[in-house]
Amino acid sequence: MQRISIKRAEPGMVLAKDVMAPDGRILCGKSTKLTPEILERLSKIGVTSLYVQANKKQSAQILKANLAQLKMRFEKVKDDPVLVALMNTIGEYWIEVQKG
Amino acid sequence: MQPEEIQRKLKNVQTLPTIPPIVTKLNEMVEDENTTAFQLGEVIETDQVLTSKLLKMVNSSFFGFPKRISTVSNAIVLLGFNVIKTLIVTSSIFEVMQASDLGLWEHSLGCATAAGILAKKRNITNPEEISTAGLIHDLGKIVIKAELPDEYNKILNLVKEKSIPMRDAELEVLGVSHETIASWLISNWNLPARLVIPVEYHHHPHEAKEYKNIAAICHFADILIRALGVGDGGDPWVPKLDHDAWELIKFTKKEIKEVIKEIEDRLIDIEEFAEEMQGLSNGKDSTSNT
Repeated sequence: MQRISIKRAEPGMVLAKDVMAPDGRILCGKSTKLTPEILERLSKIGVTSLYVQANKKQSAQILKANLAQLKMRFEKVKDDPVLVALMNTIGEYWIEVQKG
Repeated sequence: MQPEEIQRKLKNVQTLPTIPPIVTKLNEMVEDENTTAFQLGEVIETDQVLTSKLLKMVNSSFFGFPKRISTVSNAIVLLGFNVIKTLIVTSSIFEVMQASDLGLWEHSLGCATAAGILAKKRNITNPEEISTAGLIHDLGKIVIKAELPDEYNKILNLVKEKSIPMRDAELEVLGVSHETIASWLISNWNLPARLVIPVEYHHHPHEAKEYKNIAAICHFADILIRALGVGDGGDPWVPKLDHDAWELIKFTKKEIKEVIKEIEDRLIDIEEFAEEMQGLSNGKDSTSNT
């Protein structure tokens, strides 16, 4: 199971967890195969990330996407050595988790 | 628009709470040293809707209590009256946030989670208060969205057009930023400085006159949760670090990895928990009707 930004989620990916509203209503159930329509709907509601199932190859792709987004989020603070170290630590952590 | 004009506009806010009468009553009770948590709990429990909302919040995994808290008096004992009071006063704001800005709600929950974990790591007393400060730190953003919709749209457009952080856009459009707006509002709530200061200073904690370390924890919790890409704080970028504040709390690489693991684990729980509580409150409603 991997967390992925909704911006990077792709049709065909399968949800590993229910997507829920704050009041506990299920917006989209576990095991649902994502379609462009579902992604658009969830994105409109304001859902920002999803947990999806992934095999080894997909996992590697998701990790790559997550690392790219991580870098993008640090774009405005890339001259700050403390924050760059934080970015690297997060990246390292994700890579370690992937390896298991 | 001048800050004074904004302040005037916000005086008559519609969506935001004036202090509910029950809080005034509770405040009076707390003045009396002999009042017990049980007595406070009893007063709150006369309001069933409030009780159910409150129990939902205190059981949220961002506080990280392993066992279910099932009565209000228990919640007061475990979390402290200040946390309970804050949750009561802000519950209507959070409803607005949940309904209109899910991304900001997730960001707030994430920040609450991170702030509590970081506070525990630095042995700060009553970490639940720091979690609560994390939960309400961006309250000013929802105030702007709900009460100044035209300005809010201008702010969003500026973020997009100029690729600038939301806070810079707020300063450009309003002349003040969300944390100042939040501080105007919560100064009326009679909350302790431990909760107010981190909200007001979460972007520049070294300027806080007291509780700098707590403000610094909230500041870094905000940075960390944005860095992890949890929720949506209005723009996609990690905010600037206040280095003077960082010196006070500094976390090592090893500590940060431990913190991330705990945050990610709890985030998974938060959602499962919502489902569980939904079942619980449905069940509760049906028994309370009999």
